[in-house]
Amino acid sequence: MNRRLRRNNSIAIGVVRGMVLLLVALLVWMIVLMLSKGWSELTRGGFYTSVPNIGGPGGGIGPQLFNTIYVLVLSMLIVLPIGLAGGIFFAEYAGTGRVTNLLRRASETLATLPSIVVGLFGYAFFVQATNSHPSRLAAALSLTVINLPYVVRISEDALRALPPALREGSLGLGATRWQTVSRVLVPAALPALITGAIIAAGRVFGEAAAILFTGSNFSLTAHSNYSLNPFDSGDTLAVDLYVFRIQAEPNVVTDARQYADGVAAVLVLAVLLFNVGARLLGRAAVRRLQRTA
Amino acid sequence: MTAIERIQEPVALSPVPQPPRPANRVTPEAVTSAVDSPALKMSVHNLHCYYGDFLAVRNVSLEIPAGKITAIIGPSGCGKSTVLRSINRMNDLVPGFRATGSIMLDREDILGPTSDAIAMRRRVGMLFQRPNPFPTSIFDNVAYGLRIAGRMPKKQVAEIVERALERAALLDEVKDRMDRSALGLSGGQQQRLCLARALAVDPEVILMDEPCSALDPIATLRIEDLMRELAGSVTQIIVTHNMQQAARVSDATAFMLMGEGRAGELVEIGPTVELFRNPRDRRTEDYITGRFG
Amino acid sequence: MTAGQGGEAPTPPAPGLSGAVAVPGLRRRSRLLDRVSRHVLLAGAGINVVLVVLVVIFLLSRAWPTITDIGLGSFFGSTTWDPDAGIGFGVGMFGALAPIIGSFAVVLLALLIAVPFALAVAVFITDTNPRVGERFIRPAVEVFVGIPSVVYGYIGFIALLPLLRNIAPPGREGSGILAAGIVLAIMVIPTIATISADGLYAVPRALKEGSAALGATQWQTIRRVLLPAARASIVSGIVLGFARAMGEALAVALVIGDVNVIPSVTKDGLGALLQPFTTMTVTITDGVDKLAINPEGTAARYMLAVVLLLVTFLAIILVRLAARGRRGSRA
Repeated sequence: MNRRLRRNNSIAIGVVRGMVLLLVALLVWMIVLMLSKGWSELTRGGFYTSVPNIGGPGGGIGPQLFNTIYVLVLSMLIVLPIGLAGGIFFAEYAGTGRVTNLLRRASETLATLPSIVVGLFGYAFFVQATNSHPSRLAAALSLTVINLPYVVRISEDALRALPPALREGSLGLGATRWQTVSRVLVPAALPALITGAIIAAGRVFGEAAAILFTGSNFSLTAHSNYSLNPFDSGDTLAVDLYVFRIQAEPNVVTDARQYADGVAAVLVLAVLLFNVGARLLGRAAVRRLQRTA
Repeated sequence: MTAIERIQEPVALSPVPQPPRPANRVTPEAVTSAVDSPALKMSVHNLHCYYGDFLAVRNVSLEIPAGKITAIIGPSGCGKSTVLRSINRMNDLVPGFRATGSIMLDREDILGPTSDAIAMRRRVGMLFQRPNPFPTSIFDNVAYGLRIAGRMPKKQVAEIVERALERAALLDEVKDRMDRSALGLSGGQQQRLCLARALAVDPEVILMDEPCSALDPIATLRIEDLMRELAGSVTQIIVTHNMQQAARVSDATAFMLMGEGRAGELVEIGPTVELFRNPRDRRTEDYITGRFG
Repeated sequence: MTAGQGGEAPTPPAPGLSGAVAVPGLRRRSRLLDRVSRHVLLAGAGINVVLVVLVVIFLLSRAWPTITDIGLGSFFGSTTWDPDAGIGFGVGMFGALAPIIGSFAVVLLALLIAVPFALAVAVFITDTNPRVGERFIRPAVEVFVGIPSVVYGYIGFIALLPLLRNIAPPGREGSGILAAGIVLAIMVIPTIATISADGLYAVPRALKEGSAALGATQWQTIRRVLLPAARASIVSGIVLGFARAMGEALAVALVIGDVNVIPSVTKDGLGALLQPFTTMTVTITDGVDKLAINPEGTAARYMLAVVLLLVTFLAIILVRLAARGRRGSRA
């Protein structure tokens, strides 16, 4: 009897371990696949600076890379202050009443919106209602809708994680709430906040659906040519990968396929970098907290 | 005879003459011959317990007479729980734990390399400090041990569950709500449920780790009465920091103390009445009379 | 600081702790700033509400023509979807039943694949291999989460489809419900796994010990005590995974084929999984270039978005209600 139980136990645990191993292998394989296929493009200097050239060799992701960073910076500039404000409010000022509950519910609801729905909304509100055309500003604003709940939560968690002694020390010296928050708490929570910002930036990097509806002009050949005007449209890398599939025939033209592989590889690489960066900063944040505690 | 009355009754000693006993030596024969039952259910030999590199228990040797109640007393942190949990190898669940020495259950060394801990735990049951019923029905709680042991016809399971609840003096209180959640019971009832759960698999030994410390005095006395009823058919080892409880309930008592390097040691073991009236070790006397601990 | 009364000269302000003189103006300014900042921060939090309201309003208003011009009956009842035919002449067809069925079919398959793997990961991290789990698997899960959905779709496109092409009947691309289900499953496993792992962590040690003390094997404890005790978290993780999978657009679009014909299970059996199909999100996406010029088609797409939202919210509300109900019945 016992032997059967032991055997079932070993089998079951073995299956669990096997499944996890399978997933890890899958992840590694995916990353290796993308990086290796795009390697030739990744290591070619011209890839990062030239414009796409479908149907011929030597194309690049210059404009798309620029657009991606542009939209990233723009949306971070918008969402970080608002999200931080919201987070500070929830952590330091909010009570437990109905109003706070409502605000929290709203934030949670916003978080569950699929990005394509946000894209549709962004089109309806930021583009149509303002009687304008798809623009990178509209894209950045739509990204704000997607990222806001996340930044709020990260900010709130970062502030709540601070030792209460910090708060009490400042208030005990006669500082106002705002002085405590701005001079003591936010600086102390800075590493955690920066980590959260990096993760949010990573999400922007990979976001495509929302930008597709609000900032894209659906073609690989019409560019904004590195313009700085927020009202110009433009594709980001992730959008590029998708649009490319629709427009070009990767099965037919090999250079086109190579180009797409390059784009995908850049995206994967960026994710890994963002991840590592956030993790290193996370560790610094913990060390900092332990020093102030 | 209730638990309180028992404390006044002298324990019936066997007429075997006592050999002269040196001051600090623990002699197994002393225990065996004094208490009226020559059979040993379990014995611990030179047990050392390590958590990683830290020695928590040093060289403990105990003899557990069959069908009797043995108490282990001592101040907090002296290692009594560690010793108890080593007896049914619960400490195996703690990463980094190591035990050397031998623990005999009848003729088998539990700590031996070929020993089957899982099968052993059906012969050696445990009651914990805080009642820990599963969040399922009363019936399912008691039937758990039977179900994991293998398939059994439903009728038989029901009979065993009933008998176990009866032995735990809980049947009358729950017989018409066996399907309700066990978490609806009071603390004392939950602990008796856990006792029934342990009894359902018909163990030979029951270990109790301060089973009454979370209960009120009335519930405590009920448990102690149950212990007296079970004595004879079940060997019991109880760890308690309540000296009066040990004096009321047990046939033999072992006193442990934290020694050098914060490792627990066995100071003295003997028939309960002897230990409390005539402790051989000065430290035992100090503890019992409340000079410390 | 006392204010002067009548004709008396005001008393000079008392020195502060450090010997510096407290300046009345500075104090007042700080208090003002405090009050202002409170409102600004409230506004920051309040924007959440504003946005939710705006989203609801705009989506509904853009979807409204579906009800008035197209009619809900033909929207939900018909499977003929040809929104761009004769733009402006009102001869487009807007039967959206097929994409709706497609969404559910794909998500269901994805969950069927994902849940066992996700639970395996959760159990691995919390119980069978906690050291390896914390050091390697949790970070691996985070990397999984970070990969953009388009990349998942792209990998599916260049690697999974050729694989499926080998087992599909000749002439098929390999795209369809199976491909989309696999891709979505991989995307959703981290979500379910993380939330389930949190739930497993929260199970009190005492329950684990109680089970072990009764002679249960590790697997018996996992199956009979730990997983049931974490049931609430696991369910909520699955529902969140459901919501994520429902809302995924581009990854699915790259591997599902975007064909608005319901595959026939009766005719093809399992082969129906390998027929190109569509979902709500894919149908919305393929109209992205015609949003401005096809008002009816666009309205229908907004309606699909509304349906999507309703399904997602319904699932989440159901879970919240169930959680509250269970907590209430515990004595």
